[in-house]
Amino acid sequence: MDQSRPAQPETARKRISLLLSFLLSLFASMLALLLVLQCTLLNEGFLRARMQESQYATHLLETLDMELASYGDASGFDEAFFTSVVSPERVQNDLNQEVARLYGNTSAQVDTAGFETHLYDKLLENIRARGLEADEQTTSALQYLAQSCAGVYESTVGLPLLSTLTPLLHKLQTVSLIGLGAALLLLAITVVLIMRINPSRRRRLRYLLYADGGAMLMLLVPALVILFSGKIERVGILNKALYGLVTAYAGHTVLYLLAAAAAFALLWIGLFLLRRHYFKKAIEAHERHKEHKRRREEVHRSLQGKPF
Amino acid sequence: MKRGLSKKPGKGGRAGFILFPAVFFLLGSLIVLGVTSPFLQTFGNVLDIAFLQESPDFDKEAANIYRHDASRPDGNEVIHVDSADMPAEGEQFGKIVIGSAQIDAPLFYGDGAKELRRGVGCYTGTYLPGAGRTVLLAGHNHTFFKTLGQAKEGDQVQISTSYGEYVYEITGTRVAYATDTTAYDLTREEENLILYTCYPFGSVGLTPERLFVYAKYVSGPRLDWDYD
Repeated sequence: MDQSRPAQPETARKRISLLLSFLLSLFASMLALLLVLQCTLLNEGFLRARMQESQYATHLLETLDMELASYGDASGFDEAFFTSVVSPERVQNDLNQEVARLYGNTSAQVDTAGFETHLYDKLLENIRARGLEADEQTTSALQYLAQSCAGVYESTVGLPLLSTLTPLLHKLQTVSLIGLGAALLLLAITVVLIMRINPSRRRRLRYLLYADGGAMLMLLVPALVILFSGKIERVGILNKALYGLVTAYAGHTVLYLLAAAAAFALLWIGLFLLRRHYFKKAIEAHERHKEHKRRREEVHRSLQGKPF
Repeated sequence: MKRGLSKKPGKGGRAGFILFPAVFFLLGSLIVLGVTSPFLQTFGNVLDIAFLQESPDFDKEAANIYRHDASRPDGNEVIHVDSADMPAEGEQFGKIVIGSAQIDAPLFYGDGAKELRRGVGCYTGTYLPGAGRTVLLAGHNHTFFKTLGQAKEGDQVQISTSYGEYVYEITGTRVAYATDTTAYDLTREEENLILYTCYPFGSVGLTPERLFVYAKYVSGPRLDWDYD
């Protein structure tokens, strides 16, 4: 026992420990949330994986085919022509570029100019194959068509709100890293304080268990509420490709929260078993002390009244 | 001698392992709700709009609320919108017939790519037939409106909808640029019809010109939107 520390009433110590335990649960859940953020929203690979899973590129291609076929109806080109012009590889490459741009790893944009040139060449090729004359008026109309279709391509393949989101993501990354550092530091300080205030190992573990349980619930309950509310599936996005991506993204983010809650649950089990181990050791020590005391009393009684 | 050995260690407060985490969770939730409540209040209504009653079915075809064989009012009576079969965006709600131009096409509410691929589209930024204002209909010049150029002054345009039968009479036509806002008046406070399509017909590529066909109201039920 540290003789230099002033004695504290037991009740005050308990209250302070409970308060520290509560703060620890807040800091731990904050740390977990920031880690989930790092693994999801701030992770380029996470978005790519969700795009792959939700077949984002395939659905985009379907939308493009329909939009461009409508332009075909207005310009004398059939659906099969436009379907042959827009390739899945081009869409996928441009999507990859957009994701890299979102996370600031490139400044290259969707190759609209390349698409426009490619389409214009194909349009010219098509009308010549149909025996139509490519006079000045026709080539001008084809250029206008290619330009309009390129605009549709850009607006369909381009990620929505990218120019707004990119700087926000950068700021969020910085804030998140600072938050992670702060949460770790506060967590460490709180743990140290709990250890200092409570000399008993079992008591320390008790408050750590309270904190761990609280943090686990703070992650588990909202995740389960979101999962079972059905809100994710009912999000009001009427674009098939974007709907698939957003629901897959949100669903996996909730799964990451549940994984974090599971990690806290495992930690809880570990701490609980450790506490039980210390409890058993304390029981054994108490039993040994009792036995030792009983033997001393026996010896004392046997020595009493014996003449030298 | 170690402290505490004289006293048997108690298992002590097992309920605390459940109670205190639950209390921490409730307190933590209250703190989070308290901090975020100004934002939640501001965006709460928006969040309601952001979610649908049920998950969208993208593979479902848009409804067709128009029945060819149903009888519908065709005079100048007034029908309240609550008793009329009004369309939602994307739905087919009627058909348009211009006999003199051999046009007989389904009519959709909305003029997006999907609707125009399947028929003639009614621009949702204007009004439906019977509303007493401008009705703006679009069609592609290579498909449903490819013969619109044959329509002339005095010809009749018949629009059959899910809630009434309408007749308009063509009053004129005009070729103008799509960006020429003098070619159409969407603010007129009398029932009138404007049909438009890309021009010239039979051209390949997109042109900046449009053919506008104007028609005046002849007959059909009026829609009443009042809730007195």
